[in-house]
Amino acid sequence: MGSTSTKIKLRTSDQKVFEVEKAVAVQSQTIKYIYENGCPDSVIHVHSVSGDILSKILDYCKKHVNSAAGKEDISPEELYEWDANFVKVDQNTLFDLILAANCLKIESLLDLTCQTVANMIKGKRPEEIRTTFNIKNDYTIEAEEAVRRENKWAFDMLGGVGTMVIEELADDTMSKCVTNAKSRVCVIAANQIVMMRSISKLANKKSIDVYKQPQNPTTPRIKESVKQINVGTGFIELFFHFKCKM
Amino acid sequence: MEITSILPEECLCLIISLTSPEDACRSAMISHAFRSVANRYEVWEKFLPSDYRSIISGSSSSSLLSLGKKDVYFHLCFHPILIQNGTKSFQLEKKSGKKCYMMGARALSIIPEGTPAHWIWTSLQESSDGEKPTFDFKRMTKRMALLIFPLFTSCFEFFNRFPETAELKQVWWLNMRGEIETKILSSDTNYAVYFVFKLRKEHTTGFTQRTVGLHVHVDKIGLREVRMVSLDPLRDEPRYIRERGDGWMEIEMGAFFNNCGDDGSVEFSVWEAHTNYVKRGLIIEGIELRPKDSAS
Repeated sequence: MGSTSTKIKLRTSDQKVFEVEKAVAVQSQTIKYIYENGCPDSVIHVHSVSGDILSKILDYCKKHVNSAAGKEDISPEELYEWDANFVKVDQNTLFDLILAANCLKIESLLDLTCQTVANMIKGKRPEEIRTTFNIKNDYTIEAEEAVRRENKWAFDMLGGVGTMVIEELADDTMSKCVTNAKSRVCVIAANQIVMMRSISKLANKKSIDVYKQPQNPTTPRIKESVKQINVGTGFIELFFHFKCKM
Repeated sequence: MEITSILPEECLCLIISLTSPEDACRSAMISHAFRSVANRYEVWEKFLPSDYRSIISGSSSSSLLSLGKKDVYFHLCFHPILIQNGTKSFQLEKKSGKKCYMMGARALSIIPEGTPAHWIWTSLQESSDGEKPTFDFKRMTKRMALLIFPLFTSCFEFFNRFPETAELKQVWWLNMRGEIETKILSSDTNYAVYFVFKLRKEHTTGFTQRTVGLHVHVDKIGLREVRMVSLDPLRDEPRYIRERGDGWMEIEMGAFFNNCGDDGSVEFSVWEAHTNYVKRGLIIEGIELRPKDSAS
């Protein structure tokens, strides 16, 4: 009958023509709009998409249309796995898929492909992400430190119970008060004088990792181990032993 | 050609919004292009809960809505805002953007109530929008600091987000309960319930070598958890109490996975009914619900 086997012709940027079922093609909101607002028999140009990419995209659309319509016997888990395999492609192809899904307005494909890239970023350090995507670091050392400070809480994952992060040690008098909720420590002085609100927690520790922001922006962040703890009248002196962090 | 020159900023925004708030902040360090994406409002709009606007406009900090989305996110992470006439507080868990609520003592039903002989309501000097007191130490010498130190510890002891806390003067039995609808919490999240309190250093009795019952009940998923713990354990007893870092202590009452949809509720209570010994010296800030720490 008419509507179930209506075909739409698509021409790609490299002059390849695809004939697809309407139900598959209108997964793309862009194609749907053009089809409904133009001549139903004419060929739709998808200028920004190449033949190879459109072919893959049409596979995706067909799979999803068939599974939703029950034409294919596939469970949600199997479809999920199919999707996962679909995006196992090289980076350039993945980016082409994102661009095409964006331009053709295929929301589920855009989410799938973007999530794939997001998973390559999650949990990684900036240096690792640069390597993965071959991105040049265009920050100067000072600018990099400024951005790190702006977003410093995201780097506090280095901390754990018993870890303190000392920031902004400006000069050798009492400087900024920093509280790290995990270690319950309040640091009020630069020169190794620490005021404790929770002395008992510290007394059980044999060593504490302390990450200190260096004054010279060109030196990397240095890690200090506490060598000795003196519990005085609420003041504890921590003698630092400087070590270079990799 | 690399990713930021191939993909348009709207796609990069979508990608970053599919990571996490932590990853978004870290991604600012990758390059200038990423920093610009990471600061876009579309990214932080996705990290904020969908009903954040109505929550903030019903709070005592409705001016927050004039800030940029990223600033709103971080303000909500580090500064609880007061809602429902100052009886509850709301904030976000910074890593995930999930909602955290604390029911203040006024939002709980404390029995016996209204009897000044048993419970008193105290208000502290800290401002009710939850700002931590800040001190400028730059100009102080070490000597001065030593003299002023005892004063500082007492100031640091208390950071009270609510205008009032409840202090137990003297009771024979404790019965505090509260309830919250699960639909206001973030869905599909593991929540834990915490009792937030302090014990006075002096004149506190009835909590050492005694246990209180902490109950959490979620009818919809059939959860009924009871824990008997000591609020003032001795050195060699197991210690389930944690310091919160804002001067208060907390103890986990129970945990549940919130997939209760629109019509579930969580009921919680702190209960101790031995009438042969008196209890005094307990100060309550409230009961907090927040995503369960992965560390605990």
